[in-house]
Amino acid sequence: QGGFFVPGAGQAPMSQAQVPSNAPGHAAPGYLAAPPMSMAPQPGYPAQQVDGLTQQLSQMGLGQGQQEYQNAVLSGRPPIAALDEAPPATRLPAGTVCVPSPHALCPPHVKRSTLNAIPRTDKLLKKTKLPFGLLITPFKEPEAGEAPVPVAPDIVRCRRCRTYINPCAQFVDGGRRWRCNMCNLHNDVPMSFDFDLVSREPKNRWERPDLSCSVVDYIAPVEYMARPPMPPVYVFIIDVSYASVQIGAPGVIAQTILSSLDRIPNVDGRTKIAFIAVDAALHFFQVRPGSAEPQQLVVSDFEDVFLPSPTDLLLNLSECREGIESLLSRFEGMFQTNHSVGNALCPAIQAARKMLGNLGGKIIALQASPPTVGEGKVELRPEGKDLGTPRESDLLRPQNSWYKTLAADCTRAQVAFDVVSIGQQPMEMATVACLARYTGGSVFHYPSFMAARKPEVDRFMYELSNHLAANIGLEAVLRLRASKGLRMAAYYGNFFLRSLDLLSLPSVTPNHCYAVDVEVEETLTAPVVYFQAALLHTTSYGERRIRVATLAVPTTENIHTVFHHADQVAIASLLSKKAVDRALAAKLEDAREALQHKTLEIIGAFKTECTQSSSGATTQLQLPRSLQLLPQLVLACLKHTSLRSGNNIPVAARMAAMNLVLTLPPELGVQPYIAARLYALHELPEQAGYSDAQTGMTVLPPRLGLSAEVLAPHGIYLLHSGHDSFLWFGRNARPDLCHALLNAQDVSTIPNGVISFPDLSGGADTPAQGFELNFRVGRIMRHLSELCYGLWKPVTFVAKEDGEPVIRLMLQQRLVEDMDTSAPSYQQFLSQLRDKINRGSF
Amino acid sequence: MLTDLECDYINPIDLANGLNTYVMPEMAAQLVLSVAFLLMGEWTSMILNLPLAAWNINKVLGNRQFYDATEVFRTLSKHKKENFVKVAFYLLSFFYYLYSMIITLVNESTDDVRAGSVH
Repeated sequence: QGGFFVPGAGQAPMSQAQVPSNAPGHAAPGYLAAPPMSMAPQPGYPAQQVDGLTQQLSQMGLGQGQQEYQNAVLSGRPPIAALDEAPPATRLPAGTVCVPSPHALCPPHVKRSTLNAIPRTDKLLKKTKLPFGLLITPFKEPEAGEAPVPVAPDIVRCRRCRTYINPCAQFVDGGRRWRCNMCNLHNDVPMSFDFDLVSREPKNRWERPDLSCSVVDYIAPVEYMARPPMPPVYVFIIDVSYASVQIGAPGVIAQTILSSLDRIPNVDGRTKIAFIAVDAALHFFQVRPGSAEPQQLVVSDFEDVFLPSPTDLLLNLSECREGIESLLSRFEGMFQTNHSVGNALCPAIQAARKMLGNLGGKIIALQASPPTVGEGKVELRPEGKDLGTPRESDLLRPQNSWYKTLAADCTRAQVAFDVVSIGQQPMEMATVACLARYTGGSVFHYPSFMAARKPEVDRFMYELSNHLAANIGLEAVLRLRASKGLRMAAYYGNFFLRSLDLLSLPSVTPNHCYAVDVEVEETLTAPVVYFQAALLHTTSYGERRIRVATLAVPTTENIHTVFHHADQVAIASLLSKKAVDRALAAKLEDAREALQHKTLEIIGAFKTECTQSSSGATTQLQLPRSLQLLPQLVLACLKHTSLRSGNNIPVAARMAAMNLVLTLPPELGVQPYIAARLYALHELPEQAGYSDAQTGMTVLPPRLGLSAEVLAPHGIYLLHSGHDSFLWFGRNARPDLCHALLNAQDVSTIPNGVISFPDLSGGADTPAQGFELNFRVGRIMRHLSELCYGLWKPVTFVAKEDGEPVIRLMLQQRLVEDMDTSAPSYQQFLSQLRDKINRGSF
Repeated sequence: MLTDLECDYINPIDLANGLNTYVMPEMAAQLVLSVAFLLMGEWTSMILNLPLAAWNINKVLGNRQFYDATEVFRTLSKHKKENFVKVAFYLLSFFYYLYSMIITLVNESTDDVRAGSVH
């Protein structure tokens, strides 16, 4: 390791000495520890002209002096296992938190910053070229083992900036006053902190949940309500036109709703529900409370949409339960022979709004054909020739602004929309989905739905049922506050922006994430900055509450700290949301270009600022260990259905993918949705598939890199991307494994296409004889589904190496590290970046 | 109204509804004025108004003339700048028209005086 130390080319000799092994199946350590501290000009460091040997010796012994910041060299395969690691720790100075409690720091799945060490000046932030933003999932449900969100007894807020008291507030003046951590004002501590007024007993103030937990609920008093809390209201607009009846949608929808009636939140018996069936006319259903006979009322006059009956259309779920059940069980039969072609969605929406009146609520539109009647009727835009050309971006934009203005209007009435598109027919989702995007709703897409296809029906029923059972928040607003000097610039997600820091959400879904771009306006002087998100909402059981989440992030003036504490998953999530937003506002090509340029800038900035070869050419690119997967994730975004170039992605599929990217939280959106999980099933380690002794959770096998190189011809693999899952069988897959997995003789007898993964152990807790593999893989798949918070029930595609090319193509599109028609392979991408950086053209 | 939106006095939907009622009348009036100058032969005034007329026509063709409540925060600074420029232009052209009108009136009255005094 001796020899000259040549500035600029210094990396080459050392890196060649330690080439990482490219063994497939290994979480390949594709990085190596470069010199512990980069050669930034700092006092006490020898200048670069000093004798090389002394320098290298001094580097070796330097590990303890500076932090152990390791740089990763980008070469070989990306270390995919690093995706499962926790985000970089935030090093908060001692004493930031007033009560040391495990809940005092905001959990990353509720609120996450892309940079866990924030640069103090805007100049420094611009130098790093890193995107600075927050990813907030304000209404996240606590997971199975976690404690529920604590409720604080009363509301204490700062006088000046209206921040809620949080674990990072400091008590001064002997505990009589508290200092707001956002604006530094000293506020008085109310008596109720130390003395319980009701029971006349002294209280321990440190037991208050809002001082020890960063995520806390307050019960909102009357000042926070514009009107009494509303009950959950669901209006189903179901398409029963000929197109929908052909695929059997009305029957399955009615079946799903019938089986979810008990799961719909209805704690205090005030929940209301209504049904409107839509074809070329509107069908309303009237149920008198207590009667079991629903009455159908048909309205065909759309000039002036009116409700056929003033009462009993919006039904109370508890009171009219019998009638509703009878209606739903007869629903399929009523429309089975319906030949009406045409879809009066727009009048239906107007009627639904009349029905809801001032109450507000959620309108769920289940559509299988495009709206053809009414003001908002859409013309089907032919897509064939335009895919893959710059004109494709026009197809992604809404055709008319009727839906957008309607959505904006509905947010004032606290009406939210969910749009579910079922079936193959083009429905102009780009236009109709605006309803959901601007009212905080969700968009679902089931293109291959058919009542005869059991896996599809299962998936539809599972996902819709979970969605209806979700503990939603109603008539909500979300306000984000940050410390002085920080400004929220732009927001991404499904919401309506009521004011510069206020998001109006007529309905909040637990799994929706909102991303914010943050700018550093003034120099930050404090060592720690805070972000507080307050969600004022009505719960599904009629209580007005405020959910407050506070995040504390340290600041730094050192550019190396900023780089080494960046959160790559959060950055990838924010970049993908920004790219999708740009694609919808401008062009797809612009979005892809911007993503690549950003990655180039980040790598270039790191090279210039933090490595020895700051202005010379390098043979290997370096990134901090915290960002080592960034090129891989960006490449995955570029190859994902939402942004992928090419002419074989239908507009509806692209819109659905874009909607998901915009709303998924980073721990779901980045992986597995964009960067799937790949496991080898033919060589599962012993413990995989069984419960771990300590945690009780299913042990997962090691992940593989997403490349066709790892797919051995004798192997069986599982690729899980959240939304879909694939079972890949190599052409020489062992027959005994095929038997153990799917009870098939050998590879050729396994059916191509979509299957329902069979449970060959009959639901027992131990595997049946000879079917252990099936049992273990079933458990792994269930665990992977649980990791996605039950959002999806993926259908299982069987892809064989020598089987149907369509499914093989679908799987290969998810093998991100390989080259395909839309984007280069990982190695090529890296070399392109390296060339551009070496040329200095970025 | 735009600064009201920034200071959170009104919400975007009210802004859009309020301002959108004035967009088309303003453009129509501006177009009528330009055409009137064209027909009257007032070439300088017409040339002054031509850039604004072209800008308005461009917006109408691209369907961008109305305020969109969902996107208004994104384009807020652009709209403000545009409105400032328009106000400045209208003010300057107002004074120009006023000046031309006074000149014309003065010339007319001196003509009348001259014509009247001859008789």
